[in-house]
Amino acid sequence: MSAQPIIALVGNPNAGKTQLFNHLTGRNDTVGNWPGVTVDCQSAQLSFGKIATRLVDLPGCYSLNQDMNTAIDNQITCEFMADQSVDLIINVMDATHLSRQCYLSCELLEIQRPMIIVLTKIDLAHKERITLDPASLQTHLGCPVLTIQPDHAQDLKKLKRAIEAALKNPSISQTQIVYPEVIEHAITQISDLIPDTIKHPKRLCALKLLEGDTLFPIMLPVAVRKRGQELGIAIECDRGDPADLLIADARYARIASWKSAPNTTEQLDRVTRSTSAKIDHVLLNRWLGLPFFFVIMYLLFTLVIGIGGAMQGVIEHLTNVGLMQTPKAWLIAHHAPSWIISLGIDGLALGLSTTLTFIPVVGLMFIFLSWLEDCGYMARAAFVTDRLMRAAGLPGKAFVAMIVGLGCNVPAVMATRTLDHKQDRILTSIMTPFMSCSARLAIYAVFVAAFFPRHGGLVIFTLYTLGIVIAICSGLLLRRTLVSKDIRPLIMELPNYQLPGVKPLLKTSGRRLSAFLKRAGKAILPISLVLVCLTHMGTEGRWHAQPRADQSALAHLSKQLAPVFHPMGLNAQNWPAVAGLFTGVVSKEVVIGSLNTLYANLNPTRTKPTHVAHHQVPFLTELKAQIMTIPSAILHPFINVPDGQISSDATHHMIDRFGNKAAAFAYLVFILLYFPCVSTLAAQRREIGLAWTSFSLAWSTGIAYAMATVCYQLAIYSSAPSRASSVLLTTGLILASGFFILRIIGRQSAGGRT
Amino acid sequence: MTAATLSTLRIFLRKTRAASLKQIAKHFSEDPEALLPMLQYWQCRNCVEKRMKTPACMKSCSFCDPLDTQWFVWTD
Repeated sequence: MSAQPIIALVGNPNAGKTQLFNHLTGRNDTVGNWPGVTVDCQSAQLSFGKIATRLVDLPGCYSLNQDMNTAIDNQITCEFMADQSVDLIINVMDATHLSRQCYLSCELLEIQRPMIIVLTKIDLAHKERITLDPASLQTHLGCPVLTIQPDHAQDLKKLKRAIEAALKNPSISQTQIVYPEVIEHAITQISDLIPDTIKHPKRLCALKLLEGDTLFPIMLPVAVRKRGQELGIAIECDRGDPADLLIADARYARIASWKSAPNTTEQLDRVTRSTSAKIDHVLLNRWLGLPFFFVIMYLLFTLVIGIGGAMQGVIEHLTNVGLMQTPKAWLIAHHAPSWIISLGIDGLALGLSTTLTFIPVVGLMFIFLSWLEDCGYMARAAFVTDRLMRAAGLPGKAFVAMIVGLGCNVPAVMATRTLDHKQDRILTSIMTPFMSCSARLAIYAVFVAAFFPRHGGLVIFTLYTLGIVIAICSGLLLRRTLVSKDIRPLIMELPNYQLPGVKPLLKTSGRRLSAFLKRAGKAILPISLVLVCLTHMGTEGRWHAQPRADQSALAHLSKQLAPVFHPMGLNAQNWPAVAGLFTGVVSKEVVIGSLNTLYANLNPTRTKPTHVAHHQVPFLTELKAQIMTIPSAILHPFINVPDGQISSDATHHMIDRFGNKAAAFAYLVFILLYFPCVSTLAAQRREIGLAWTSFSLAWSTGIAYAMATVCYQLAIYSSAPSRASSVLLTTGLILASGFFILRIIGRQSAGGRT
Repeated sequence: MTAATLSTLRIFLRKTRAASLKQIAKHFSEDPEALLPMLQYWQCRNCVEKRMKTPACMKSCSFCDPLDTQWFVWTD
């Protein structure tokens, strides 16, 4: 045994490995009710009794054979099992699909390491009337089999005891699959040539060599590998079937011998008549599926804006008084220097207040999204849109990554690892930044409150839908130009529907919200400080006690850039909006903080020194009034008018400078589609390389500019038809030229490849 | 009852030429989920093609079993 034993959690996708990992380690890694949630190895130091170990949670895979695992996340598991000397394997199996998962167990047995089988989703198996016989499975597999509900403390104790026992007294299963004579003969011949220094069992190396696997036999001498290939060819000539088929066939035959007939008949009966299948008849229906998906998304945003908007009023009031008015009054009363008041209140406190007011809208969004994920609907969304995606020449599985992008684009880009082919991964990585992440939702909420108070849900739904449509259209255009056209059908396991538990739901949402607030706070606070400095600094470079507003250095710089955005409705007067766009490059969460700081400082209302007690009566009255709006918003979410997350001064200036709703909507369209944040770019660079990341950057910003211009010009068409026509025509010509240029480049590179 | 293995699946599909997932599952008395990796093995080797078949009635009332609409055709 190595210095620190390695325990690997291995199993099929969506078997419950990460949930078990979280319960064992007390960590809070992302879990979800669909295959492909874990795309990288996660490890934690953990002690069982007095034995310190490293517990590793691996991405799910169906087989250790590379042929069957073309996606990067699956390959990570295969490589880990081939490279590392694992001291104990915990094979996590979903009890509702046992027969499918036995194949991987067969392969794991051949590694000849101590192994514990853990059966999860026992409650679902009971509901589905599946008869489980762990004792029989234990006899067949020759290793301990435990039935576990990870959230039950007793079950976890039982597992920990089993792990401790397996580490103290490691025993290897004696179960061995007997292969056809010709294979066994070849195994013996190859094993005789393998040197004793090889860390894996000789039989395993010989088998993998015959299967055509390259990972496990990589450490074998060239002569052995050559002999393996020769024997493989000889077997195919002799039997008419390749060695890998004979080997897999023998494994399936062995698995079939483990199962009893009544159990499998019951399983078939279960699948055809299960509740999940009945629900899927409606939700995956070819005509109802897509409208149902959009109705769910519409309800989601309306409820988030309706209920979250009402709660925002309370938080805004609390932070206004607690973080801004009272400290500001105290500082003025104590004759604090003006720069401390500006930096502390207009910079730090305003930034913090903006960050905290995100909580209701973003928190509710995370709760609803987590509920949809946990109940199993989100995995169906990929199937619902598969037909549409394939019609556009795109991989259906890409939609899973795109849905992850509704929360944050960074994990969405990483989720492209679940795709089988490099071209699909590149395409999906370029498409995912168009999905509207939760940070953008905070921006929409402010603009909706200011410009579209009556139709907030509809505007946000339109923006989210526009993001999806632009992502699909981008994919279609790129498929027809730069990226090859090989389309493959979607093959993905659908998880069972389940009613999400309140505790895990709140835990997941809380983790996401906390990560969001940390990320937002880290970006908003320093940028708020920088912006305060720039607004207090004149063009001559001197600090002024009062904000210089339109005469500040930032205003001067932004006004120089404003003409670029004129076709989409931004003028030089509205320079804070231009500045906000540039801060959004760092992180989308920053945009609202920047707009709040900049608009509020255009003509700030200085609070006179007052005693804290003076605030008490109006504060409580206002707070009570704000709280009273919440029940009404919950009962009537569709008619609630949300309050903004920025001060009324700032809102007033913002409405004034945008001038009309068309410019505000065009601005939102630009925010939705432009320049992905730096974290997303970093993730893209890691996944698809610098060249494609640079292309994605230029592509998204170009599309954003064109779409925002088109939206604005169409909206003002009736008032300035000739000007709007010429701008629309120019935009159309630029887009068409871009398409043809990409097509030419695509053809040239395709020619180069052939 | 025939055990579901790659070779028995090949024999069955060669004989029937095409079968729905439900028919295959019934023939082998097996969980359809367990058959999918085997079918995928043959799909990867271009021996089997998966086709989504619209029910004969051409209606979308959603009462058809999804296992009936997934068809696998032996192409070798």
